[in-house]
Amino acid sequence: MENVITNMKEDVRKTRHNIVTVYLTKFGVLAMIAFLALIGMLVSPNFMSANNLLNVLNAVSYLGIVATGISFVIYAGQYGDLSAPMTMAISGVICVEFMRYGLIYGVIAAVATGAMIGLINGFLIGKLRTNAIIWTLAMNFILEGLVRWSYKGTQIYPDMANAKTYTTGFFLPLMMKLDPNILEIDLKTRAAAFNGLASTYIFGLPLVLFVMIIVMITGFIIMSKSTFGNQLKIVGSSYNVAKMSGVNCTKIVILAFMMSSICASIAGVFLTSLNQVGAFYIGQGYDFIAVTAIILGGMSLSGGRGSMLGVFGGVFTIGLISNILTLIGVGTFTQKMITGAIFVVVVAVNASSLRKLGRDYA
Amino acid sequence: MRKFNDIFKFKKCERSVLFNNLNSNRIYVFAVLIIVIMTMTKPEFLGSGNIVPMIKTSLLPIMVGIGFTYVMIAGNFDLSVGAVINVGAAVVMGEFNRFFAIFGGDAGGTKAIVFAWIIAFAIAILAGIIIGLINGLLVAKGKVHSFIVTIGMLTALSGFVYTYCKGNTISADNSLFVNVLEKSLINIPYLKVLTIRFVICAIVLIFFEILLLRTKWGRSLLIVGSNKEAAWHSGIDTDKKIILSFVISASTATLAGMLFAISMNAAVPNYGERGINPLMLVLASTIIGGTVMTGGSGSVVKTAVAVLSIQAIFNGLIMNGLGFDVQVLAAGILLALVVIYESYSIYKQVLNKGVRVAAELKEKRKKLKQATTT
Amino acid sequence: MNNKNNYVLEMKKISKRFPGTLAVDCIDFNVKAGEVHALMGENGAGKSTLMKILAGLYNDYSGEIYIAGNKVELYSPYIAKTEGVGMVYQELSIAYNRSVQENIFAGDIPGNGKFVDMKKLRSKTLNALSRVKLDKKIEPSTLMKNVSQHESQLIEMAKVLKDKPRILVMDEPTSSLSSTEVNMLFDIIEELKKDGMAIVYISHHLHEVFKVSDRVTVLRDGKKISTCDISEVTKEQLVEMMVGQKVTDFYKQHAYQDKGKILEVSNLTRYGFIHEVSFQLSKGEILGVVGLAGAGRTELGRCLAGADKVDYGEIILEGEKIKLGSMNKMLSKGIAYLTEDRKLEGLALRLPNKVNILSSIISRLSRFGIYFPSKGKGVLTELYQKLSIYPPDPNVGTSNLSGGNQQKILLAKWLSTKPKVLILDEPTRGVDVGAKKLIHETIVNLAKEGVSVIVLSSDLPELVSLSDRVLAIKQGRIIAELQEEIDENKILLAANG
Repeated sequence: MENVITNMKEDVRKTRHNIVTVYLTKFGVLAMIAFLALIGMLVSPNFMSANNLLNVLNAVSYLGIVATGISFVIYAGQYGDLSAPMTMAISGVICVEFMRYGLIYGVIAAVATGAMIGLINGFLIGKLRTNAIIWTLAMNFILEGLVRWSYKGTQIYPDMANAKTYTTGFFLPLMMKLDPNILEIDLKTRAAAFNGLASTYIFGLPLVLFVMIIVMITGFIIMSKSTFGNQLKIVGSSYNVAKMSGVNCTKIVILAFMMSSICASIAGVFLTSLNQVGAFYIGQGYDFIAVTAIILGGMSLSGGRGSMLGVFGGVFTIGLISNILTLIGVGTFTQKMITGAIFVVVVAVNASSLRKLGRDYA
Repeated sequence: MRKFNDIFKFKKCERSVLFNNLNSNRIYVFAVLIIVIMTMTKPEFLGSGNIVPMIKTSLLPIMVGIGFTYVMIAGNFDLSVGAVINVGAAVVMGEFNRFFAIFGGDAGGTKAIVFAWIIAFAIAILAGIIIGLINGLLVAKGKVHSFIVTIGMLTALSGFVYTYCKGNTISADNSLFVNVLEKSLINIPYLKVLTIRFVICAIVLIFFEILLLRTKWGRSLLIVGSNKEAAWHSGIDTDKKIILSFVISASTATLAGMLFAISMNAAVPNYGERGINPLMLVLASTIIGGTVMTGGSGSVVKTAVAVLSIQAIFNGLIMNGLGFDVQVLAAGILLALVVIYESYSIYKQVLNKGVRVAAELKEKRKKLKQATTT
Repeated sequence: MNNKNNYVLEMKKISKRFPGTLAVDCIDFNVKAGEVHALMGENGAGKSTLMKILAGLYNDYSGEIYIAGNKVELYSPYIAKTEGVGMVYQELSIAYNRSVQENIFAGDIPGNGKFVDMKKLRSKTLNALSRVKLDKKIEPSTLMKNVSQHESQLIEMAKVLKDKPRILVMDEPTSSLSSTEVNMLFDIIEELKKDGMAIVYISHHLHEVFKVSDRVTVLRDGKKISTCDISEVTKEQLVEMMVGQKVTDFYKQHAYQDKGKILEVSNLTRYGFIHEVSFQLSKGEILGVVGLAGAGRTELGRCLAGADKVDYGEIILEGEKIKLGSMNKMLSKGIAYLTEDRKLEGLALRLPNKVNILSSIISRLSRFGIYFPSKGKGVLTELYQKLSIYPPDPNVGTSNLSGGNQQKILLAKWLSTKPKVLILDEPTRGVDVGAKKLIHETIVNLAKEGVSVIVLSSDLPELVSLSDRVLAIKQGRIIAELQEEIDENKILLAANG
């Protein structure tokens, strides 16, 4: 009884926080979305229409899928997965190659490739504690070289029935060796099915949107409800503590990077289908925008803090900004510039407010 | 028992002095090795017709590498260098054209050309310094992770360059200076490489190497990179050092972009997006050149030698009939190998603290066993 | 001149406020030239804060500071340095990638103008190293990462001394030194005293304070309790001043009955750290392990827990041989290890308490890959009550807690795993008296419930009052075992071999 009293005397400190700052950090994205919505309404009366908002969502669904994956990496305290763009590209290419056996095989092959990439990334970063930025950048370059080398820098069209055009490549000759009958497969219908992937509509809504929503919900459940997600939180907050708590850190980090790569693969398949061509530049820039969205959504770069809901908010914010700027009549490149500037400002403000709260920086 | 105690000291895993020296100077070994291999496979590798263009293409990444190394030494990353190169290129060309027109175009004569170039140079460098300042202030004073800041900067700048160029390639309306900059000073086969651009690059390189290793300022930057807190306790203004490292990075990248654009007489808004990414080349060279990934140790000249080595590999690949795509792959694999090596050696060090002692113990036990059996 | 008493340093009415607490409350403190002034107090008493003010780490203190009679405002470490304050920090701040000479002369590298003069740097470094008697042992161009820990502590001191400070502040300088190294440090301090330097010596170790200091100031809860000559006080009086209550035997020795063997360790070896360690542990026994710094105490704990690689050896728990080197496996079999480094390895400070406590049993509270934190609620409330953690809300962030309560959270984290063998490494380091008492009671109660506890500690009274048996470890080997009538002297003698 005596101890309790002495403890109470000592510990009345630092337990009070400024409620406004707490709520601002918690619901910052919502505030931003509301603010953007307000501007949008001022700019155009059509802004709040269901049609326009759906357009916004549709436009960011690829980004949403990628961001869901990368958010696991950031949640693990590993700054980001810069190999996402080439993972997207290589998955698209692989999907196109394997599509000749049927669309579903193509998708499976693409996702398996993504999982492999994630496994390698995760092993090096989780086990050897390599710097994630540098390693994933190196991985990105390797994958880029691989795709370029395999196709001699040419693009690969799903409906290119004439195999002669790219017998110089790497994948097709290999597959021809494994399966000599490969050229007799009817490509036209398969290619049509693949190209139609991005333009499939269900209940008047694009398939990608549904995929994004499914990926995000799955991501939400995995991040906040699963054993893996909760262990990931500890690993992200402090790698050493997690290690000393008997958590298998290597496994957790590998899984986080696999999540990222698999999501990138899914997005890559859809993006390739949208562009109707597989090439090394598919997905370029998605890593940076995804990190932007995730940080805007309130996830901390130091790991272990944030939520999938915030990521969705961040992605939606990116969509809103670009939508509003388009409505005003700002060009794509100027939009990029403004997005970058907004990002830097938001992050700086967020970091300073976090520091006022006595927390570590973003 | 006493002897045992002597062995049983709690030392860190130490390597031989020779290995440490070799490891810290590994880039020179690597460079020599590449030259030997390349010359053995293709004797014409050492010909002036091959060496000169190779060095010329290396000038851009060498210059960018200076700033990149500085930032990494101070313990940060500057991922925006690729975009800054384009800013430098586009701004210098665009501003030259603007002022050239203001000064009366071709009618203005040499005077118009010179003044227009000077103003354009000043504006572009100023732009670089401002970019560096923003990066540096956000990292040092705003306490935002450099990765985030420079990614934001990268996005913003690449948008800016496209808007500035309106998506087109900009060429200078007068190519007089272009010819001056690229003209060889000495017309002897190997010394053809001595253009004004080369000389500027060499001077900048040497200046920054001396600044880093021979001056108090540079030495304290190294300490900031190795341990920021220790530096702060020693009365070093860490924030200022970090900000300046970013300014150096952005301004060298701008200068590199400017000189490159002038020498090509073209500023492309997407340079590096479709070809070999300069960021990749510079990152790979900096790490291969021995700059410690967490900061605190490194050298600008070693980075430059690494750039040349990588270019030599590229060159050798082309000479052996392999394409541009293989270059990308090779550079990626090289970077990956070095990163793995660095991480693995750290990992081993952490895992096996005191293993040296183990080897000695094993030997001792062997001897004991031998003694007991005989 | 207003320094009538030859005070080199006078601090008057110093206060420093942290959010929600007054860390230093109107303290007067002064030091004469050529004296060692010990500063004592429990953790959180304000001694470190007071000295950090002196070192210029805070720019928002109130009060006045006079150095050699002149009023100074110490608003940055650099100002403090130029005013003659030298501080040797508890946490060493070393630039590991740089050489010894660069570390020593980090702030002002000698040279001509803006350039560095390497020869001068080398000779000056040797000069500085000679003051801490390292000039013959260490080459100035050695990289700092290749220097052992006690040497780097001395190098840190050389770094401070080279500025010729008037006042030298040492914050727990002996925490990572062995006894011979401590004696060497005391010799150096003696010499500095003769040179007329004013030394402030912060320490928890009473015998050190009695050995080196001339005067002592005791702080408690941010207030000054007393300043007096060391010859005027006894150990008991000092402790009483620090603790603020009469010291009685507040914990009783644990009465232990043999309930059968649970753990058998044989020939456990990690090259370079522990060597063929063998011992047995019974159910409900509290086994103390004592050893000086670097003797392999912590390493033994880590190897037992599977945190570090083991080269060879066997661990048999309840007759079952366990695979070594896997923390996860050990934990599932019931061996838990409470780490000595709370901040780095123990608790993720920015997570809420409940997450921290349940962090090691996430997989146990899961079904089919889904985690049910609600299952852990019962454990949480039970542990909160048992350890009387304050504040009683498990949603509070761990970083907001005091050191004592953080330690309780850490203990709770391992208790939640319901271990059969609990290894505690420095269970009460940096903890206030109340929490210490409670933690000791908890340990004894655990033992009564049949849990075997291994206490690795450098705190002798703790070992005396808790352990049923004490193993002394030196240079990685068990060199003595004490079973009956354990007292501090016996333990100390055993540990020193």
